[in-house]
Amino acid sequence: MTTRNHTLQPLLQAQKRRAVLPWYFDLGGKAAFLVVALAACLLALIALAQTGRVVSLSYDIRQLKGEEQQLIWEREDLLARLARAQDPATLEQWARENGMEPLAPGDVTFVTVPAGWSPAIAVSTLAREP
Amino acid sequence: MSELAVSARRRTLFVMGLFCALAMVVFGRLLDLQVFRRTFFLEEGLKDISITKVIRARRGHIYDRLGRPLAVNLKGYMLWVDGAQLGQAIREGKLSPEGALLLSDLATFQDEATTRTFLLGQGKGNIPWTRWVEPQAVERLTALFDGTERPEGIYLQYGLYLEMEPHRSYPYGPLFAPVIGYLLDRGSPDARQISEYTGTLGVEEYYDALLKGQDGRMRMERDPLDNSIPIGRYEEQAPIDGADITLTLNLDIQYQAFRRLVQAIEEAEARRGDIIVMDPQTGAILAMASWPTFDPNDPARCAADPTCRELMYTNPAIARGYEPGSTMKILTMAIALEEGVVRADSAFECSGALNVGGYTIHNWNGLGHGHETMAEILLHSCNVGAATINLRVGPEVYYRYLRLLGFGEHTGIDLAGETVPPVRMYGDDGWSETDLAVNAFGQAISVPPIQLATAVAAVANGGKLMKPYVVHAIGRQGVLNETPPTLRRQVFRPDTCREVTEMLVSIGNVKGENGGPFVPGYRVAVKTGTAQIPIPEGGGYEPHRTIASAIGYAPADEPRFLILVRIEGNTTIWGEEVALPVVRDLTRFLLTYLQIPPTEPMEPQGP
Repeated sequence: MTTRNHTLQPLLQAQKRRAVLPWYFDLGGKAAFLVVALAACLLALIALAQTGRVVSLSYDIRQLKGEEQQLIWEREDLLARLARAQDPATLEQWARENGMEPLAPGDVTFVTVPAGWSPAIAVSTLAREP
Repeated sequence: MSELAVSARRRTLFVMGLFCALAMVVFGRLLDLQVFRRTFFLEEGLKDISITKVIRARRGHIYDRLGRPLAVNLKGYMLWVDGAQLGQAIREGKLSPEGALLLSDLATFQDEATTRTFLLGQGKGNIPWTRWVEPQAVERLTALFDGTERPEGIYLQYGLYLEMEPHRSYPYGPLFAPVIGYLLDRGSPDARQISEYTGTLGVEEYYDALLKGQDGRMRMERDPLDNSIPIGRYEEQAPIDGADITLTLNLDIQYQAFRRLVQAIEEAEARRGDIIVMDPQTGAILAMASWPTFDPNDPARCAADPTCRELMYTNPAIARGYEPGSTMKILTMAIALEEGVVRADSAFECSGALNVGGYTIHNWNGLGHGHETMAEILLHSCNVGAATINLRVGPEVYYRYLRLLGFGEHTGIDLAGETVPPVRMYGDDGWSETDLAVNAFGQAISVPPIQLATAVAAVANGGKLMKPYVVHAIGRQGVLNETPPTLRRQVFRPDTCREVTEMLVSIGNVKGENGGPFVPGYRVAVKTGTAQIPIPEGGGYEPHRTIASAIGYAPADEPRFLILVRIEGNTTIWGEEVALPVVRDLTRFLLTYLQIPPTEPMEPQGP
């Protein structure tokens, strides 16, 4: 019968670690329980904080969505009001009440601005002309 | 190796094999549940603990060419009623008589029997009670039933719920009704279900898919009270809002056209009428108005009225054919000049009567006009002259041009409801030479106004047949796509068009007020038409009713707009008396509005 000898490297390394950190393995039952309880509390706190943050953000998002919806409705309402304000029938009535009349082609003077003139030059030059 | 060791090894291997097999079975089952049927089990599980809500896409707005809103979405609600909860409230005497009366008034969605069952407290299930609840009714409901508002709707007592449902609003009401269209609840076979509002008529129908967008979905875990769990599973598929559409129509031009049309119809005590204002260079429609019309804000009410219902499914400007009368002579003349059958300085004897195939053609006044040039034939609207020209052109050529001008086929305008009346072409059953002769002055041929406007625009713009269109641009998710003008084909040479335009300008020069220029300072091309109304059964024409029409474009040399007016009379009305003043007023308005400078002296020159 042949036998093979192996060096159990991992076990040796574990033995070495145990020698370096003896206090960890020398904890009594109560101390170990306390350490575990503390660790669990810490983890719970972290989880709770995370969850709280998620819940808080979730409410914020919901509120923002509600506000967004509200703003969309306000925009729609403003568009409708804008349309009513721009109603040509209303504008015409208002203009007539204030003594205005529609322009006829002959009432408008068209002035040809030479090419290359800027609007400012055109206005100042044409204003000087009789 | 001893026998014992071998036996031990075998037993070990057997046990290991057994465990491996069991592990494989477990692994296989795990694979089946977790991988192959994962989605199914996930869905089944989520069904019990989650709720799915539809996030409605916003329907796109419609704007005029200058960005003024023509169709928007206002905040609106749909009322749902839960039969069990309402029944309990009724049995316990909690529902006030005022509340019951309000519910009874609002019940429009269900039939009378269902409504009565629910109001007697015997209803079952959750049913839609009414849609597009008026704001005043919402106020009364929330006051009477103690409402709690949430983003998705308003929860009321006794099983009532106001679900948010946007209300499509058209701020200018009837002004754009046949062009823009409206939203209609086409109904569902099951009254307990609601159906989607569908775009009906005009732009709303033609671009319905683009305007309505795509609804999204939201799925979240819920608690026993149906509230969402903030830390639960949450999935959202965002909605894609509908595209915003900018039309080529201009509110100011539309208003002026509509106002003037209504005025002309009232003055002439006519039956109805239409106006089209088009940019002949591009085919863009600047205004399209019809009267009488309907209010698109309340299609349900309109549908309940038989007179109104007749109006709400068609746009007469693109669907109602008519015999164009003498306005057709513009095309007859253009075809003859293009083919070289006549020249601008050719002259005919307008005798006052012409017999073709046993049918005698008369002029509108029954009199002869004597020796006439081509321009005079148009000016005096000589039917005999136009018929003579057409007989010289010949049927093959004439009807080939009608086809080229798009007669008998859709113009392709981007509006729902375009209808094309059949045109009896050369070679069709029943065609005769008389058709060729009378078609020359717009009889025995039916076209909707849009078709005639498009064909005459081809004469106005130098021979190009453009595709008419009403959508200038479509904006979606921040990207704006403009509609380019579409050239269908070149029909006439520019020289031909110039000659015809000159003839029409010579008409314009004497058709203004007091026989002066149509609009002083401007060259305006015009032609009027008075058409008889065919009797659908029995043939012939109505003796005492006519359709007055007129077409004009300006400035004649480089037209910026073309106006077509059609007014259907209850009596005999004439294009020159009824339709031409409308074209004149609109031309005056447009020349000023579009800031088009004059090219001619403003005052008539003295001798």
